[in-house]
Amino acid sequence: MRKKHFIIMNKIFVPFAIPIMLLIVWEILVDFDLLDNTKSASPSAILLTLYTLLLEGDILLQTLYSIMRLFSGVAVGFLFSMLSSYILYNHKTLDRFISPSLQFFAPIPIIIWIPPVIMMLGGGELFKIFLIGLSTFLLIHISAYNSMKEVNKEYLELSDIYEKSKKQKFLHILFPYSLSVILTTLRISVAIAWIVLFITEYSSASQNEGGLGYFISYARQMGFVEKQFSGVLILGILSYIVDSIIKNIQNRSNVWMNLELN
Amino acid sequence: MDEFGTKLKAYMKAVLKIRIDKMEHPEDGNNSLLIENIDLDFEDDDFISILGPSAAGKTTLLRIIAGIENRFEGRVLLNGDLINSPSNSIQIVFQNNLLFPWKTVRSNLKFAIKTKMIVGNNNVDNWLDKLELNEQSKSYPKTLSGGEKGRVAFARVFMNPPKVLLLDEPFRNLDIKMKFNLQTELINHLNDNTNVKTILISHSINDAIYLSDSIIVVKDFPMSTIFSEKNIFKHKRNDHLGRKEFFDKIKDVLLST
Repeated sequence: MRKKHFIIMNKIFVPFAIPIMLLIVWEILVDFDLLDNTKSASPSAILLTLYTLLLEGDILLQTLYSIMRLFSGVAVGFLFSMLSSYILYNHKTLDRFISPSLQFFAPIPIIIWIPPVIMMLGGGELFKIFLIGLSTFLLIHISAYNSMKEVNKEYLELSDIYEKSKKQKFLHILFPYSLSVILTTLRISVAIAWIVLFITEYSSASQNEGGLGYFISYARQMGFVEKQFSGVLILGILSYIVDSIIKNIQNRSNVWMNLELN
Repeated sequence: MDEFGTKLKAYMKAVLKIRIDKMEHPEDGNNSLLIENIDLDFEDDDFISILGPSAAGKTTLLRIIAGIENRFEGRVLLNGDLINSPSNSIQIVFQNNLLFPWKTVRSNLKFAIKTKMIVGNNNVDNWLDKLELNEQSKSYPKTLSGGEKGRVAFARVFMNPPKVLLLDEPFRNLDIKMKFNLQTELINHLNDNTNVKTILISHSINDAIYLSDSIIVVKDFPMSTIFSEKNIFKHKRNDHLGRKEFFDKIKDVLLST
């Protein structure tokens, strides 16, 4: 019995101990007026506000907008990174022509592109999806392509003996070989995509389709502290869920490697 | 050539002529020779073994024959046709079996089927059956034993019967039971497909005498032939004394390298 209790303690209580303690401290600080009331709200008040917001429904719509943007941006960026890896792998001249430029652009923080891209594309949907797509594309292309170049050449020679096409070699050898690197980078890309999404929405001004970023910025300007924190809470939960989904795919796809990635 | 001629050629015994004048060490800057004056003519013999010191360039020789390596001076002719790129007609079992680790046993076999060939899952199932790999069909190579990996590698080459079969030390790292099982599979397959030419690279004189019609010994730096003789003891299994003498002869040549 003692052992069973110990396991429950270990698995459930220990990982959540610090967050729960922080919440309690936060609650006390607000309740005893130790924090500025116009800039902070107690966890209990935030949860209450979140509940009413969910009943009203608008916040769900805004969340949906944000998810759609994030998903389309990441999907476009991912597809282009695979396409570019395939093309550059098979065309050495093109590789020498394009790769140095990509290597140059990749380390530049994506946020820096916001002003010039707004000037070119305006502040609409295209601008948000383009920025998320660009950041995803650069990150995944660089890591996937570098990983593919390290594949054991004998695998490719073997598929030459089986008379496989370039497309088959990419799908059956290069892609699965670098899948674990691709998925790890995808997780990082999605984390960065949330940041890009938040900033682009925060800085845009379309009220109806603003998304969570706009919702939070609007609540902040109006001084609705509870609303603001509710938005942040949803954003946090969402990014956690999306990351868990990719992590799950990652663990499944790594069966052959016997890798435990966390 | 007319259609009949083409068909006839396919059923005829393959004739393999290898002529390598010289090959420089590809990774070495100072033009040192890796291979010099190799001249091999495989017409009557169906099974040839090549023995020699490690790192002599035997694997490179197989890669040249398979059409993978072409940084050399010389030519490889299969039935009079120049081999300059890898193809289905020359299959190779690589040193470490080289199974695709991200594919299950079944997918590994499936990927080995030439795309243009119209044989579906049946063929894969047949080979899984024949080599007793049914239980492992959904396993990944990492979980297989050495013998099982070897069987999968052999199944891959048996599936599309090649004209030339190149074996790069496939029996290394196997225990004696697995080795004989695999050798039996190989002999059975070659008895069913008599027009296949097999070249085996090995460290074992016994394996060579057991399996081959002809035995070649090479030296290293640069690699060249120093011994080449018919192995009559493949079919004269009871001549123990002659066999022992032949063994010692090859051993002495090998030790002199």
